[in-house]
Amino acid sequence: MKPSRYLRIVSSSVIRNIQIDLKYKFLLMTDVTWLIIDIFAFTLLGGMVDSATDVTYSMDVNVDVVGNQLHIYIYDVQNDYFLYSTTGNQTHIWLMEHKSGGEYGRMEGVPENPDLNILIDGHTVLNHSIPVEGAGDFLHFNGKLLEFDLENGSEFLNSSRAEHRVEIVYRHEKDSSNIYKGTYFGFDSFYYMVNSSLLNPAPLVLDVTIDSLMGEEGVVFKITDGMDNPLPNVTIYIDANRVGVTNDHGIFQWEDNGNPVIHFRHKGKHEVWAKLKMEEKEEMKTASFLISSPKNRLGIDYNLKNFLLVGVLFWAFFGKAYEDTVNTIPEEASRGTIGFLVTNNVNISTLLLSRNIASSIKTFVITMIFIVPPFFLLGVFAGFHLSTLPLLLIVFALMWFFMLVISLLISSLNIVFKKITPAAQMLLYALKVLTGYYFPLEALDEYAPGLSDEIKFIPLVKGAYFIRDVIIIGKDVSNAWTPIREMLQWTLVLAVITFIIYKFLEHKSQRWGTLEFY
Amino acid sequence: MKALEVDRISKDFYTTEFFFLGAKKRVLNNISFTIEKGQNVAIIGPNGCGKTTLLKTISTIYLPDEGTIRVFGNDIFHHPEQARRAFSFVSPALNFQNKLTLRQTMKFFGSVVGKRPEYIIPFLKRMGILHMMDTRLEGFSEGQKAMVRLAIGFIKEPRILLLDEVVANLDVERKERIINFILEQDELQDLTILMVDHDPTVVDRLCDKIIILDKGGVLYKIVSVKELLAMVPYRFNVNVSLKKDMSDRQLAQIGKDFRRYGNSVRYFAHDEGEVDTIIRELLKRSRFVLEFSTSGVSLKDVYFWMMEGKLGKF
Repeated sequence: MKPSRYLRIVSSSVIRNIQIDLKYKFLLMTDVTWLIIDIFAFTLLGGMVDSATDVTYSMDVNVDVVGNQLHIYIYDVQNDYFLYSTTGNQTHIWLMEHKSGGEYGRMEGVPENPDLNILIDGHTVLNHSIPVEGAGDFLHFNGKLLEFDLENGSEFLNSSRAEHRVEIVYRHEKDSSNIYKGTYFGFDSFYYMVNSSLLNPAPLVLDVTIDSLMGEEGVVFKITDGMDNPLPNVTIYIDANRVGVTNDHGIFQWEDNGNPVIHFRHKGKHEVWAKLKMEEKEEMKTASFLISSPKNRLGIDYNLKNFLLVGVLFWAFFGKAYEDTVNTIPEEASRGTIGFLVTNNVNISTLLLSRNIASSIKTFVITMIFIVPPFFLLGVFAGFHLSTLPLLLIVFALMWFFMLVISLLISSLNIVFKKITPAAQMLLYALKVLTGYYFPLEALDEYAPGLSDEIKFIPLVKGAYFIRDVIIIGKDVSNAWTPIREMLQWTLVLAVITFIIYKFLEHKSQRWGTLEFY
Repeated sequence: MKALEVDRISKDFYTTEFFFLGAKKRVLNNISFTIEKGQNVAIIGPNGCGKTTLLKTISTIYLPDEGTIRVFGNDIFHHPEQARRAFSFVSPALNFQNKLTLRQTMKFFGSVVGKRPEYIIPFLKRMGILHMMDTRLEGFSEGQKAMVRLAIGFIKEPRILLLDEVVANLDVERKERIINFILEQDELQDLTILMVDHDPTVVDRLCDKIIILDKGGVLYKIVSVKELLAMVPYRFNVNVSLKKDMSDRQLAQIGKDFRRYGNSVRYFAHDEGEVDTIIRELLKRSRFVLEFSTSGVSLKDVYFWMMEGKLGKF
């Protein structure tokens, strides 16, 4: 068929389908109402869960060497954090937990290191050098400290959600020069040991190199692994004012100038997997801090409400187009259109493509009118920047293409096997689950480790997560071509498989006489 | 010039739910015939003998299991696109999206066949439905929809017209209009027509050759209409309407060969003398007879015998 004829038929069929859709006004109203209910329900549900788990968090950990003390400041504590400390072979754990609204917290597993003090907002919380009995001494902390029990290694404190500073003070003299640079690691380079399960379920030691730009104030450095892959959600920057001597090649001899502040920012997945490891040069002991949020079982970088609402956005667009497309053959076959098309050299896929395009236009308009504006109001697009729009459109187009291929695949089965709507609905449901329409798959990581990462080879899932990252939290898109390429590759593979199955079943349907009947 | 060559076509259908595992039923069995360009041919036969299946197989909706079909020399297997360009298949199975207007519908179907919908305006005018161009099809009667189907068939400007009971739901007047229109087009475009129709008057008016299929999808005979009529064992019919019931014995006294359908009786006569005898006997029993009429045999009689499953007795 000539391309011009093909386009003419497709455009004519698209117009016909739009005309049909517009005739069924009640159906359109139902679709819109359904969407509004979805938005309302997921906003409510996500908001409730967010409120319970308080998954929105970001924090700075400032490590400050003051004389012979290492001070660690934690700002904006909005979640649960584990603070691990390793000294020699002995591991100590602090847990500090804050709940929104609940205004309480607790600390447990307090290390027995007598040379360690913990201060919150300048108040000594734990100082083994000072005898402490019960919680009494700490009831006045911020006026809300309710319990503090060192005898069983835990304390409960009730604090406001104001910004707190937590200081963990080692009395040991620290020589942290080997933490950051040295001939051992190479000149002008800083090295951290970072454990991350984002890339590997097993703890992974990463060399983090901060290049010569690091002297700049506020510059955010990405952490990469040995393969130059960025470690998601982790950035480090150095407060230049506190860094020692710098030159064009970076920082050197900083240890002689003291007081660097290392801002360790993390927006974790289900746990914060960053580990700041500082070796003690003389004793070769390690003081390390693993910060995590164990209560956040959802494992996403942003709040659940936004996560779910973006799912509503996807499926408002793709879901209806998919349903309309897979219903095309039953509808048209029962009208006898299929036979007419075949006898006029028009492939059934033309009909399916047209239906999909028409439905996509319809859902696009509905989405733009009924979803995008309220989402802006709800703050779902908080991370969206206009500069990322072209990339978003490409990813969205690839997702659409993938769904089109899936629709064709299911429809090709429909040519031969009638009444497959339940199966088509089941597949739709599965795709919704995989793309996080109902819950983030990362929430299952505890039961099926790595599953959420494994299934991201599916273009739709990959695209969904990419778009969420970009529009919700404004994730860096400099490395976007990798997922785009992968999405395209897998979609093309599926398209080839679909084409083969489609052609085979189309031929069989003509043989078996199932083409025109429904 | 051969417009259509059907060579030893057989077609099987699966008869069970899991069709690809189940048993097959042969619907068309080794059928061969040729239609010359400009010929108008009807396929007739008892219900379930495969008439529509044969049309659908020729129109490539089904693929035959055996045999070949050539449309103006183009094999439908090897050159389906060229073959399909030559014909229009007008099927009663073609239905419409009732919410759309006739204009919107014609626009879509016109785009599929690559023709502007305006082309069909003369036909719609002739059929008296042009004023309904902006009416939704849900407001069309079945007869009007049948005309729309035919209009879609004509919009392609086919060389071969495959018609499957196109006038089945039309009133007499519209049926006559359509037949006349087809005959005009036939004359203008030198159409080749292959049709299935249960209305003998339509076949009689349009066709000059008949393909008779028998049960089991077997080709029984290909004959001209004249030859076919000659095969009917009677030459005349006398159709009687009774006003009082008569017993079969009383009816047999009027004429020995008859069929009774409630208050109607049909007598068969071999010659005019026999017709005279039947009429005289009817007049004698005028208190039982409401009315009667006589006619020569037509394709109606052929269909009548087919309905009785006595096709093989010709």
